[in-house]
Amino acid sequence: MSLQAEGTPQASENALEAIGLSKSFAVRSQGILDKPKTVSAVSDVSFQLKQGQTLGIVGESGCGKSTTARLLMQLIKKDAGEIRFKGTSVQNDAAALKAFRRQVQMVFQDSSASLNPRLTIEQSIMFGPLVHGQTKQHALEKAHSLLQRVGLEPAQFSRRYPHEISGGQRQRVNIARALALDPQVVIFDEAVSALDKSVEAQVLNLLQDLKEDLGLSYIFISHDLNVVRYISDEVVVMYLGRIVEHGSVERVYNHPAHPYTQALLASMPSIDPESRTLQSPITGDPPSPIDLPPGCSFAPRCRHASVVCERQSPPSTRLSSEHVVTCHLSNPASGHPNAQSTPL
Amino acid sequence: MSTLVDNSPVTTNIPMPAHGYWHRVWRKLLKDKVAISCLSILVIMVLMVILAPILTPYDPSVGSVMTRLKPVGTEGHILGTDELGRDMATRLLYGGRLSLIMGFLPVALALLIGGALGTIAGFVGGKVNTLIMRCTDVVFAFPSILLAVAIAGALGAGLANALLALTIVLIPPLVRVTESATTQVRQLEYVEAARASGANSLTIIRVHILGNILGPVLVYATSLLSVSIIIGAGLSFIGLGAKPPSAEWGLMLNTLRSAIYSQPLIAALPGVCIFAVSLSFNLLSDGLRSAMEVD
Repeated sequence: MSLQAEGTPQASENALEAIGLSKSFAVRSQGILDKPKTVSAVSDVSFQLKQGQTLGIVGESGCGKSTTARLLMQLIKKDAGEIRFKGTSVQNDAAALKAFRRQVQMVFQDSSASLNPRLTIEQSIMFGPLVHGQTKQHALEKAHSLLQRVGLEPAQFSRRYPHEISGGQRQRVNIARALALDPQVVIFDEAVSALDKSVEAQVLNLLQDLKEDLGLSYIFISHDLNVVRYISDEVVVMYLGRIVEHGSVERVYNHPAHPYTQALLASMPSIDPESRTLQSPITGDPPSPIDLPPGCSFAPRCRHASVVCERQSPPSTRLSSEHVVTCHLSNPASGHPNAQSTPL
Repeated sequence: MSTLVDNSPVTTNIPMPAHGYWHRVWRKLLKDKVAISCLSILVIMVLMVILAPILTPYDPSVGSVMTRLKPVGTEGHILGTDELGRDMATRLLYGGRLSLIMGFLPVALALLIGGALGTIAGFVGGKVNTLIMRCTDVVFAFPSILLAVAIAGALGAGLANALLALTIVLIPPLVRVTESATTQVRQLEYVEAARASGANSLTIIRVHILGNILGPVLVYATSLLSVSIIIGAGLSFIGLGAKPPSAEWGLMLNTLRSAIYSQPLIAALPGVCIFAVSLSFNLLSDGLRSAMEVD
């Protein structure tokens, strides 16, 4: 029952598309006479999620991954930019949003906070279908078949309350809840990060199976580079609210072009003693996102930083058809002394 | 794809319990001896007050000069008689009707109004929140007894005006408690998930907010019942609530003042009733609070 487009027009090749998404939050000023400050959480983020693929978003905490997810779901209002679902721009009126949210669903990080403690598991899963006008009987059948699908025996689990099951089981319930509206795109915001490794592997396998069976497209947000590599087709690396590198998993993991991506990959834990990292390749904390200075925001922590990096923010440079990087090093015209004309 | 881990359905041998939150709260409350004693006292009191005409042969407003201020234990008048010769037990039972109404009715009304305002303020946030909460603060700034006296005094003496004054006094604290509970729940991910399912605000409040704020708000309302009874009795005592000859505990305290030297025990009886009911509500509220910490 694949929903994958076969011979459909090019417009629908992208399941979900973000164009220039930006969001900043006001920070409470210290005194009444101070100018209000803003934190730029996400700025100018654009990417395409191709039908039937998984797009991974990685970055350290506070880099705007979760804000991006909430912007995509339109749970928070965007300052600028556009979201397109199957080539059609999503409008901001109630009816359009409701229709959009039937197609795009989200799984949250905290498996227990994302289930209402007063509702049984089946009630939680039934909520979405009931909101969209399905009959109680239909919603209940849907809930039971989804519980079965995510590996929880309905007869045993459907009437339980969230506190009566384990974290891994709760996250399976959250996945079932997200699938209850038959969406085409599911956004996972650190959905497996809180689970222990064995449960994480089970859930990841479940996600792969569901994706193939139901023809879903995923946006998978995580700080865990191994997990993102395992599940994704394309990967976006974010730093302080901006995309620094974007490309296919093979390109980005094997030939990282941005110094930040290189540092992230070098710090990845590995079971191979040969490739163990002996020292941290990246030091310090990201600068405060309040009133960012001009120039590349990674420059203060970058080994390759030069004068141009502190003055100008780097433009996106396309290294190949499936690899884009935002760094002066990769742009021969930037004036960076070490700039290269060929990818690293 | 290769499967690292077995993906067969997860099974456990725990039987399906299906015990809801309120069921578990009740089970825990049953183990709390103090709370259950208080609840029993209150239930018995309410029953006795309702069944007053069956329990006593006397009329609460008819007395005899011949039987004035008989002591406790007099034959036919087990709790003695008051300064007009009316049976004290009868007066206390009928008086309890008014006193308990003075407790329940204003709290119920304030719970409806204050709860609605607090939920709206907490859920909508922003300017609506500021407007509602600052207006609440203005009312809240007055000491509750003084405000009740002022309102009842301005409206004129009478039971209805006293009930109205009590309701107005009780609204601000309930708005505050509801608002803070709603603000907490609103930020949780299941509310976000509900919004992501396309539900509108009313549905989210009904399904996801109300059930989760009911606990703390009910605990607080239970403790307000005793406040309401005490202030209500106080209003009657100073002549702003129930009027003679109707029986009401606060009013009885006032009219029995003259007997405090001759029959101190009888003069104290209405006070004992007020004390017992209000203490029971307070201890029950404490018991509920700890019983609700089941998660």
